[in-house]
Amino acid sequence: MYLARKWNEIMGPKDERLEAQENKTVKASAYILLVGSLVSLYYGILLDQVSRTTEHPVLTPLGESVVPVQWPLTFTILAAGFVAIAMQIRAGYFSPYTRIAGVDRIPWGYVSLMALVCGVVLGLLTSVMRVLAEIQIVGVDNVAWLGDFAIGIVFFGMGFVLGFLFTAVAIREAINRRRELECEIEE
Amino acid sequence: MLDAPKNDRMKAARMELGLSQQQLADAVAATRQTIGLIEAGRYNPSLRLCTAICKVLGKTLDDLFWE
Repeated sequence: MYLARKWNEIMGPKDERLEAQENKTVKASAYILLVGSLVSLYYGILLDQVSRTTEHPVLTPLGESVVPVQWPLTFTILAAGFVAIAMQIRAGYFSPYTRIAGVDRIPWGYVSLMALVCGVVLGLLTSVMRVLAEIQIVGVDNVAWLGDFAIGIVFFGMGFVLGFLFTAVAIREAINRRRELECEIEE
Repeated sequence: MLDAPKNDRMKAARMELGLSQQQLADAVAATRQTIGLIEAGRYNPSLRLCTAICKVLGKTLDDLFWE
C-alpha cells in the first residue's frame, strides 16, 4: 500500500477517461485469468483422475506424452497480459497517468524504470523459487546458493532487456494510435 | 464514449481565455485527447471533471454543460 501510494504521488494525477478504460481492461484480463485458471485446474484434476483409473501414473515416463497443466496455465497468463496491453494500445494509451498518457515521444526514463522493475522481479523470483525447490528436493544443506544467485542475475538481465523492448514498443504503438484517434476527432 | 452534440460552448470559452487544449488539460489533470473528445461530444465527463473545467474557464456548469 505504501509503495502504491508513493508511486501515485510520483506519477501524479490520472486521466479519468483513461482510468475508466483501464478498469475495463483489467476486467477483461481478470475474466481471462479466472476462466483459464479454472479450465487448467479442471484439466489437471481430470488428468490425474484418468491416470489413476487407467493405472497409468502421470509422474512416470509414460506420463511424459500428455500435455502438462502448466501449458494452458501459461497460455492463460500470457493471454490475459497481452489482451490487456492490446486493449490499452487500441485505446491510444499505455498508462492512465497524465504524465505518461500525453507524451509525444517515448519517455526513456520511464521505460528504463519499468525494465528495471521487470528485471528485479524476474531475477528475485527465479533465485527464490530455485532455492525453495532445492530445499524441498535436495535439502537445505545442499542448496547451491551462489549458483541460484548467478541464475537470478542472468534472469535479471533477460527481464531488463525484454521489459525495456516491450515497454518501448508498446508506448510507441500507443502514441501512434493516439495520433490516429486525434486525427479522427479533428475530422 | 458518447456520441452527443459538439460542446462548442466549452471550446468557445477556452478560446476566449486563449488556452490550448493541452493547457486546459494540464490545468484539470486530464489528457489533451480527453478535452478534445469532450469538445467533440464523444466523451461524457464526470461531475468532478466538469466542475474543474468550469473553474478554470470561469464559467458555471449551466454555461458549459446544460443543454
